[in-house]
Amino acid sequence: MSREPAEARLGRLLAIVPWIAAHDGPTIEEVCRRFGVGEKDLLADLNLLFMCGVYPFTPDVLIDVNIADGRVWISMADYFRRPLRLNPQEALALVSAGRAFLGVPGADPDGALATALDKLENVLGVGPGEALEVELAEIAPGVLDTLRAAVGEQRRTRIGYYSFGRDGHSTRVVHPWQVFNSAGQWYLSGWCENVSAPRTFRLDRITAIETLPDTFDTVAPEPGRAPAPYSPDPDDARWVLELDPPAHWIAEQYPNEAVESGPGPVLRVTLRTGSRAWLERLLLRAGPDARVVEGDPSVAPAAATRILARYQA
Amino acid sequence: MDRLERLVNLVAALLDTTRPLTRAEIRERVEGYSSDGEAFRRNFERDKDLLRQMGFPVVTEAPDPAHPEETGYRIPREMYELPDPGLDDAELAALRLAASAVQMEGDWGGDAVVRALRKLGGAVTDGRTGDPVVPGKLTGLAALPAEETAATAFAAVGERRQVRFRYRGGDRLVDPWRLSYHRGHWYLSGLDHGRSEERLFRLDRVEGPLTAVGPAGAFARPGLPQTAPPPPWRMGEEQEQTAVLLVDADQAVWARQALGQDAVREDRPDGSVIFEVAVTAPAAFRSFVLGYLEHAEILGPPALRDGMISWLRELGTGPGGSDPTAGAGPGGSK
Repeated sequence: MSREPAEARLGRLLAIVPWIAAHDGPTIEEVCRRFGVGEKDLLADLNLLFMCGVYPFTPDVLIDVNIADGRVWISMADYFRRPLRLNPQEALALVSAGRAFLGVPGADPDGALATALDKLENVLGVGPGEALEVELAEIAPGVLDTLRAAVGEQRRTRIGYYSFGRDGHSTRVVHPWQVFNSAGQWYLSGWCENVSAPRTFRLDRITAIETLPDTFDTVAPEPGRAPAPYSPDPDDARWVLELDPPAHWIAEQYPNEAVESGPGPVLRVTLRTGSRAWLERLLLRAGPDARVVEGDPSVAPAAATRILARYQA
Repeated sequence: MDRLERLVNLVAALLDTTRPLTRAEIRERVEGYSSDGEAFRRNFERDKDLLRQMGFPVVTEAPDPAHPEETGYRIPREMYELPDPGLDDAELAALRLAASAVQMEGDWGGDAVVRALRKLGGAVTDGRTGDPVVPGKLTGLAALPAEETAATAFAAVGERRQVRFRYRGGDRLVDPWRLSYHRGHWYLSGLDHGRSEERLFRLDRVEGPLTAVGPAGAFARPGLPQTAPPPPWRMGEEQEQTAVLLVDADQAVWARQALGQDAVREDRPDGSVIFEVAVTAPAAFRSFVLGYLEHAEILGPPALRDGMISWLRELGTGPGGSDPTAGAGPGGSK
């Protein structure tokens, strides 16, 4: 017997039953493949369905399930003729994924995805195309295509890059592993030959790009999964900041090691970063609402003085 | 008896009836409930809660108008059944591919998209290999945040129901017109009844829950195309000012991306650029400019420039800083 929770099995079963009932004896194998379910689990659920029905449980009102020659038929389940409506989470997850993908440069604006979304939005009452807009991030034409091609062909690539963290420009040779969008930004993850380590680059800070003729053979540690755009290095310096309520967004928006509450409305957040320019920007924005209680207290005052010199030159 | 079997029987019974079933009828007509009154009550409550949580429209009505104190239950077909959108296999495959490229990140994203695809007729397999798609191991091209407020707002947009929530310390009642995702955040736009005009709300800034209230079809959605949400410095409620911003050559390309070509007032020979920017939220504009560190300067108007100077002066008085005006000799000139 399956160990899955009854909830997961119920949802799946009530989606599968109408589909089988509407198709003339699909193969068990096709049902498993379409619905992403193992044969053993599917048969266990179908066997249980044999026993189900409505009052007064005479044979004429019981669900009829027929399994023969690797095929399955279901009849007498008129009340299960359609699947349950999509709940809000399901509707948003599917439609926004579709709209986002349709907006990626290179997608066919009139293809199967576009017509699928129009049909789907129509039954959800949000469409077509006018009540949901998903924009991942604007991106310079060519950069995304060039990098995705380089990922596919495993070609070494030379990029000009502005490092936000160090506030400086550099030229690097990278092995492009993956291009992905997270929190409204496009990123490239890959091996950086300059530092002999994996690095993540923001596409909008790439100033020049050249695909080199030779291929690479380094491998992404977790292929297929969008990596976190920013992962603190344990060797980075540790900072503890005290945040008044207007600066609480710092604790919510950036990866941190710990957040403690108190005294009063104050939050104490522990961060790791090796990037002084990144921390400068953070502290300059938060102003008096963020105070360094562990780490170099001169970061914000020194940066403020540097910028002020420009205004008073 | 297996709980799943009992749940299937319960859903079938509630769907099959056109009039609400009383608890006594449910206990008698649904296979799998105990004859013990207390055990029945407990199990039925659990089952009903689970079904509602999964999105089953279990409605409560009096079975007999003459006895309004009696409670009955049913699942109206028209509320239960997903209308058939008529997707063909190519369209299902396209949705499947999009869903594996764009993940919802959060507690419910991966499962929700798999359940949605199943309800539409399956095809929950990897487009290339035919393997079942496992939540969390999808091919990642993009990630969207799975926010509960966005899901609730999206449903309310579709049903045209009003929503209530707290925002910037005030209670809002809004006709939700459109949901959008822009630069990493979910936004809701619609008619704010307290202010009698269209407003835009960043959903991760909603304080507490966002709930749909009142009947469906409560308003008509204006058919205007959605424009992108304004930048943060245009989302304030102060009198609009036009900021003049100088950005150095090596950073100008990003400022141009962020502000748009229309904001360029002057391309200077050294590569630096002067922008004109409409500002209604000075603090947000200050944050934007501080992102450029010493590579940008607000030239005017005086209110914004002086605001930046006094902000920096206050921050510059700590350890490691020094107020440059303190030591500036008479020779200092531009």
